[in-house]
Amino acid sequence: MLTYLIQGLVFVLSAPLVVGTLHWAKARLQRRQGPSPLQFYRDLLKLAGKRPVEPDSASWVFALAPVIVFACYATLGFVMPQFYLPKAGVAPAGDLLLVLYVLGLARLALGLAGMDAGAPFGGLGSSRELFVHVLAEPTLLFVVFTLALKQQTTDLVQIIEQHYRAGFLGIYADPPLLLLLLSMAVLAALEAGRLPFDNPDTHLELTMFGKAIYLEYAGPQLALLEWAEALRLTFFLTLLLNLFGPWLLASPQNGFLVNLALILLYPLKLLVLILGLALWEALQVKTQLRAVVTPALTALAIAIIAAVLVVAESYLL
Amino acid sequence: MGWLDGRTFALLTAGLYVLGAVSGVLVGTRDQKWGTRLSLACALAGSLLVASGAARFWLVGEPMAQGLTFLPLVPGLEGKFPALNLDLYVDRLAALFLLLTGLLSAGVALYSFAWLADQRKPHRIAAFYNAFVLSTCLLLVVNDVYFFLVALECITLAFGYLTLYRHNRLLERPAVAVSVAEMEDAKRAFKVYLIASHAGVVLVSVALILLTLLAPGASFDDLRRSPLSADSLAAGVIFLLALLGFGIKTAMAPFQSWMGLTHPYLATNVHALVSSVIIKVAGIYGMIRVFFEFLGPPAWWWGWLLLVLAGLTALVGVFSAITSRDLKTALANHSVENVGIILTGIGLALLLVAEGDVPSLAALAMTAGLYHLLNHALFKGLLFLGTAAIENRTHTVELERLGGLIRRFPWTSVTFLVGAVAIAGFPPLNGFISEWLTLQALFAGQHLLHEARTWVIVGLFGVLLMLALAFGLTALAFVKIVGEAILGAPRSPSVLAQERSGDVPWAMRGVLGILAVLCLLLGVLPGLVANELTRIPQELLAGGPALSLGTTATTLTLAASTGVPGYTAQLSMLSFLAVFAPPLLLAALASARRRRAQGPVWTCGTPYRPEAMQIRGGAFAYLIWAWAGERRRGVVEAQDEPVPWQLALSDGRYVRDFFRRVASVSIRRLLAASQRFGDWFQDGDIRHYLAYLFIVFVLVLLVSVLAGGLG
Repeated sequence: MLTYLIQGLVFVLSAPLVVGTLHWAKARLQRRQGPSPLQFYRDLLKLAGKRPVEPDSASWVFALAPVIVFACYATLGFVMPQFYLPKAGVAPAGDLLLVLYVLGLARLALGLAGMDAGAPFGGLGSSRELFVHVLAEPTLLFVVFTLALKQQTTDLVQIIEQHYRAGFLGIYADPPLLLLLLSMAVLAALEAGRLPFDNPDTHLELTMFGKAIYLEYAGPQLALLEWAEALRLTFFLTLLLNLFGPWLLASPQNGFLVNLALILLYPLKLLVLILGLALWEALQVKTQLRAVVTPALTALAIAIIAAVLVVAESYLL
Repeated sequence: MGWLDGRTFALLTAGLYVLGAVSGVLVGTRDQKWGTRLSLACALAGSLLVASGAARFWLVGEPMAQGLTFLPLVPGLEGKFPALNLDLYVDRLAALFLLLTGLLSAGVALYSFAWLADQRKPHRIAAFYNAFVLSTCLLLVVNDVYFFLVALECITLAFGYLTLYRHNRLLERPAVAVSVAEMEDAKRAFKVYLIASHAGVVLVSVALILLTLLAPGASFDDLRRSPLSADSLAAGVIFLLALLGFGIKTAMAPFQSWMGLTHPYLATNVHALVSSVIIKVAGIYGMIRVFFEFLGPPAWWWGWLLLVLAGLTALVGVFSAITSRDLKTALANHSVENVGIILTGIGLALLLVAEGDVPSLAALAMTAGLYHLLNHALFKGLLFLGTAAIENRTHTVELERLGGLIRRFPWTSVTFLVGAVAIAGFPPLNGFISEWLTLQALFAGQHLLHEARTWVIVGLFGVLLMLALAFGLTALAFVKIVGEAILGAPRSPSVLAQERSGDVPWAMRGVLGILAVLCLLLGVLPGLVANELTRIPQELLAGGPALSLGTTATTLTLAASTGVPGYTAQLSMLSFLAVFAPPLLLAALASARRRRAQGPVWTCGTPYRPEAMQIRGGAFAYLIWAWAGERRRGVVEAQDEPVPWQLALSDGRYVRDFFRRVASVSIRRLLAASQRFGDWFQDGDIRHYLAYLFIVFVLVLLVSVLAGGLG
């Protein structure tokens, strides 16, 4: 329990650094000097000190939404290992379906807030946010379904453990799991609002999914939303790392020194992913809103194929 | 309750409802106010009796049937007409439905004291409400085919009158204010209901009569001993007939269209009861009885068909819901969707009984369906009563004319919001638990996949896909509904002007509050109810081991030990809340630390016009339509159709409802064919009529000779 608590705290506190590093790396790729990786913390502090202004037409739903969004994404950090995988059976609430619905709850809260502001752009943002939800939900569900077919459980920690035991070839020589990796990578980009689905660096919030809703927010509430967004990105990166590189997690099976090395490796492996993402985003352009459907549905198709393959395997074996 | 045996209890309850119906009409014609009150008081008392009786029965135990034979109605005829012996039979399945009917109906009755006060001729609604609830309860406790069909027909008749509500209201308004189209729509509701409902009743009748012919008698006890086997043709035919009949009654796809055409024309308080409980009594209750009890061991394709239709129902329901432009239609269409989710559980259970060797998995699937049924009764009741409250305050249910209610009617709006989050299936409310159970049952149903037919696998995949889409779309639909109706700024100055000030009366608030709390309780303490519900599959799927869903109230565990090979899953709401609450509280503290200032919305510097600048529902769902096709430009033409199939999304766009279009075209063809036949048959030539007489005469002779020969 304690290990999850510590890891969750690390997750929540380090998420701004992840996004800060990403901003810095992208700037370097564009041959700009770029902001320091710590800039995100400074922004959050600055926003936290400001007095929030709310639209006249908004109600308490608008004020509560950032809190719920933040709590949802923060929760995800406490139910999943970040760098240390303790012995089985102590994950607090790590059911994958629950995770999926918590992601949805954040979307719902944000969507309601967009409608609540009474602003012309918030509604557009809500509409897009929920559209993404509709596109992502079947894929998420089929990813979970495939994992459940494969590992006989929907418990995230148990799945990670089984991946741990399966060994490198057990995962990377397994076609359904490779397909899942592909599908989840697309899904993560969609869910976390990254390119090519949404351009997080634009200043045209009106063209974006969730950010069109942020337009009416200010002060601590905006800070919560920005922080939540950083949490979301970090969650998806860590999830991919956990499922497809569980051996890099420290665990009681290893000796002390190995574990220490693995824990120190944690920021490094995140950094590799961040650099990869930065490179990817430097080469991508944003697709048109309605064309988002094609890659999203491709991810769904891949997930379905993965599930079919798992079933076919069980036929053959 | 020693002094009160089952017979007296039932008579007392029925008497209260009859008294309510009669007094509503008789007293109401003299004094509308007191007639309505008396009638509603009877309904309230009767419903509370029903609920308490069902609850007590649930706690005490055994299915009971004996000693409840009421009739002979006519002295001297005992035993000669078995159809006149009204046997009552209650088991846990019936008790669950009775409990829900009683609870919701009591809530609606209490609510209606205030709600009906400003309606025209409220005593009639109250009186027919009594008759309606009584026939529903009768359907649930009868134990033979004859009375089952009688009760089904009684429901249809009482309900038929209630669908005239809108029509009657329009009649009372000055003629200028009512457009022809409006009147036509209101009349159509009645016609469509009668036709759809009777189509269902006829199919159910044929199925039950066939069952009776094959069984030793017409009592349900006889049917339970029916010797049908799974692969017999008769069982298949009866299954199909019952599926169609009950499917029409419960608005299963592809017969769901009548619901959206009929239910919105009910009085909103009645609509709450109908949508949350009654559609499932008439359909799903009947399905479970017939499929699991009367038909013997099922064939694999029964469950498969039901499952696939269930997924389709969920998807179609939610798609029609996002086209709806008023609250009642939208919610009625969401009922279709939820029926789909419930039927997924039931269908999967049926499939697993036929295919699987793991009975506890079938029990899990059925429990999931029943849990969703219970949940749906609660949150749909809540949403509809919330709609009634909105209607009571603002005099409209059109989404595009509402808005900003949360600041003027906080109680109504907050409870409505709770209902919306519950129906969208998000934790920690109850909708999430039953969706979780349904999905887990589908996942765990993978054990089927190892041995099963390819079709079963395709079916499971398809259902999962359709459900996933439906779940996602429900969230979208409710952000749209809540966002338009409750949140934001008021969208129509005229509605704002005619609005009543202050939230609804306390009786109405109380009912809303209780339902909202129940939604939360069933979400946070799922183990409490889920474990009780497992006793229903235990009774129905005889021989199956008990399914234990975890031990604590807040945790649901599907462990390998429950019989599902190797499959484990755990949902612990308490630990979820324990993890969720601290960041929530901290963030709330952080954001509440500074006083907030108010400012105008950013509108690029132009003056803010809330009625024009907020997004509307049609535009909100536009991306979905842009993706799902079928969207057309232009206004909806005046439709000279039996069933209108162009649904306006906004003033310039519409979609075409495939199912309604098919219904419309087939009705027109059927009418044309029957006209042609009529013209040919009734050609006015006296010689032909004489020939008809002769043919009938010969037929009668033949039949009587044959029957005599056989006898």
